Amino acid sequence: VNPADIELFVALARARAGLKVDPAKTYLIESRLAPLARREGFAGIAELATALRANRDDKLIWAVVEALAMGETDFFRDRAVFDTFRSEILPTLARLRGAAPIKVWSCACSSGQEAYSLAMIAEEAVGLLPGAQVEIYGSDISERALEKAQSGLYTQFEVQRGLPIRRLLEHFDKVEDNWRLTPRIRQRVRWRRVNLVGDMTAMGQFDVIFCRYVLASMDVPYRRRVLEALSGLLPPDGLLVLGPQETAETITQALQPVPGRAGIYVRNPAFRAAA
Amino acid sequence: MPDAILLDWNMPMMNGVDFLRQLRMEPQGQGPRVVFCSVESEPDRIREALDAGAAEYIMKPFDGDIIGAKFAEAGLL
Repeated sequence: VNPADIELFVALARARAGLKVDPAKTYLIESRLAPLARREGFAGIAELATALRANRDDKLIWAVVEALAMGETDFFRDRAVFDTFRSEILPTLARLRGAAPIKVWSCACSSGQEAYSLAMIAEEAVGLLPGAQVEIYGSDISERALEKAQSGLYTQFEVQRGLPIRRLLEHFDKVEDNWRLTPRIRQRVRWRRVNLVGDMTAMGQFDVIFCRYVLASMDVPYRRRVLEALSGLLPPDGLLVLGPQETAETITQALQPVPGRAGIYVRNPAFRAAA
Repeated sequence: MPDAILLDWNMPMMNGVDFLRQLRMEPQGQGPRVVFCSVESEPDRIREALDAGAAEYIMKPFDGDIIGAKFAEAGLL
């Protein structure tokens, strides 16, 4: 692979989505972009790079960025946080919000497993939290990932990752060799494409934002920008959920950790974003 | 009695569900945690295994690291 082509892809991913793509990982870049190049009718990724230089076709640029952004995910990844969501966060918010909707956002959901895991918990809580209205939102930068998420259709390999067998039977229908989430669960999630480094001021407020395993894929200056933008979308009692090994306090003062809850943050009321 | 049994639906002589039902009638047969591992992946077949007392169910084919996750799910790890 031509190093100049790699540099071009890396620069595009950074400029458009704040992504940190290691140029030394040529195998990864090739494995992500070779299928895209074929799909778009190019002989290989060298021809894809040539086309990108020749005409700055926005659609093609985004296709490259999205392919490089594709994350891996499982249902109920890191089980503990979902247990906390079910047994503590949701009941507390149900009490505080009453009949007002509880808005939960999986902000970089890739192919949707995190948003659907939250939807399954919300569905299972219906009888336990009478009157609670839980709205689940799923977003990602990748249109292709969102298309898959929206289909609610997963392979046998995907449903065996993280999903206990009883939940599989309860919330999925078997469709030939694959499994599709039931309409009840699919209808619980609203999808939209969101670029976390873009303008998010019109997003509205969310009571809980899941932003796990996203920051590590971003270039350092963008991590701060994303965390501060997300903290601005939380009400004073809202929560931001990072991965259990991820921290916000080394990146920004905008968030305060919830004691004893790894990866869970609230807004810092004293913080004012620099103008 | 073993602590855990990995059991297939399809076996010679006796199928896995019949085996599990018989096991549960033995004096110490409640003990072992049973995880099914089978090419049978129809919901009705899976339900039958769970009703007979299986704790978890792995559908073949599967990724290697699933076995550990499913054993954890069954309370074995």
